[in-house]
Amino acid sequence: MSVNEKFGPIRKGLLEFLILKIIAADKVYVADMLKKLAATEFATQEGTLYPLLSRMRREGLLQYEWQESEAGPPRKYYELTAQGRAELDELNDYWKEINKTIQQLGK
Amino acid sequence: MRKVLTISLNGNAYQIEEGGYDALQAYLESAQARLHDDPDRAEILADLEQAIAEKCNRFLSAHKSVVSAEEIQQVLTEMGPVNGQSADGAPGGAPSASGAQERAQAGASDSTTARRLYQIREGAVISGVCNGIAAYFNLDVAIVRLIFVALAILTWGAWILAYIVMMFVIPYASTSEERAAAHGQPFDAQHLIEEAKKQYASFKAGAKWRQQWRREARAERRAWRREWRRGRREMRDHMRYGYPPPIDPEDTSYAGRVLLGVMVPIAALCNAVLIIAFLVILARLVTHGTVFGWAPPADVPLWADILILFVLMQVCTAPLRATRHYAYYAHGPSANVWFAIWGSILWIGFVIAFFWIAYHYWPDLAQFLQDLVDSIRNHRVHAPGSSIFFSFWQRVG
Repeated sequence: MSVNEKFGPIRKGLLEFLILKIIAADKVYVADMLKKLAATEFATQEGTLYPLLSRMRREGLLQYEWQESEAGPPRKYYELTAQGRAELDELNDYWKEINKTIQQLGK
Repeated sequence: MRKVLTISLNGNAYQIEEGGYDALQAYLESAQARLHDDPDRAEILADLEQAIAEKCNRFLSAHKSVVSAEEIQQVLTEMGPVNGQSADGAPGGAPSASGAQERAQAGASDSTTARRLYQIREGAVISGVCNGIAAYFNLDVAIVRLIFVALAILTWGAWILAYIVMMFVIPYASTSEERAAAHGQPFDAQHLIEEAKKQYASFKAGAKWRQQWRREARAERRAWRREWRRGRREMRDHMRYGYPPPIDPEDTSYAGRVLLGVMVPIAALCNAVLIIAFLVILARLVTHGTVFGWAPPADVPLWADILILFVLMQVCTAPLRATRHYAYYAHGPSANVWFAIWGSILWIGFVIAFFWIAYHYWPDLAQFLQDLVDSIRNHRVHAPGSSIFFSFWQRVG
């Protein structure tokens, strides 16, 4: 089992966190998110992202608005809700804790 | 030259090659299946369609109006398999292109690795059982249907009940994936026959005692068959010549034969009436738990009731069977098979005619049958005593 495979479930769990981070920075369209993630270990695809975004929207973490595009039909641009921001802060703190633990263990 | 289909993706028309259409449809159906429990399913599917459409746009220009099958395949690989709420696996990640491709291919073709028996409704005559079996064994559906009809006739219609059971038990192939699974791997009837031949050959080449045993078994079978034929011949002779001829033996025998020939349709009619009564009582028993006001003892399970009913039915039809039997054999040893088939066709015809006439002139029954067919098709009848039976019997009784 490669490291890549071992960390599969962890990446899966972290994807939501990363999406919150991306959306927090700027109003984005799904293709932008995919482009941002493509260069990283977290590269993903529409088939995964759309169901995830839909669930996050149901949970009240984000919302979208339709914006006209130069080419083609209007697109969904996502942004965080207040709840989404709170969640992101919480996740950020938690992530720092985890990092600290990893750094300190075994010292 | 390739066939091109025009499709609408989220409200815009696209022209794609036929092979691409199949792949696209399989992808969207699988997405739909995986998002089955998602409350926002329609919205996600619209988003996916939109994303596919945008990816297709990349391949189109003023001089190229058709998306090829290969391009569709590339688009779908980029999209990646849809991960519903319940689907596990590692969706995020797998950044390598090969990984993504593998998963896309797994999503598109893992169904072809295992062949499953399904009912296939496309081109079905009744429910698609024959269609599914034909797909399963890679046979022409016409052959399977002929076999089924022959079985129905040869088993005195019992095969029809078997068909009805299969209608309930075998699932429908409702998605492309399932339809692919119904056709499955390239192993076919020919393969099965060869396999059987191989097994037979190895059996034949087996130990000597086995051959010995088979020879003895064969001899025993032959002896038994001889005995049986003799018994039959004796019975037939007894039938034909056993009774003292009143005037002229030739003449009576002829008159008797005519009489027994006339008996064939009458026996078939009686048989049909009994079968209809049997079906009505069975339906009544299953849905109401009573047979015309009489309730079977509560501590006897339903299957036992049905078994008893079936035995009773056999007992009731025994004299009829005997009559038919005599009638068939009165016409000589070679004619009996044809008479048997003729008798079967007759009574099955009577039953079908009864239901056809009732269907057209008795709206309650028509409604009931329609509901029944619908519910079987939608698999809504999970347990006996489902509501449509009740509503029918309440209206009738």
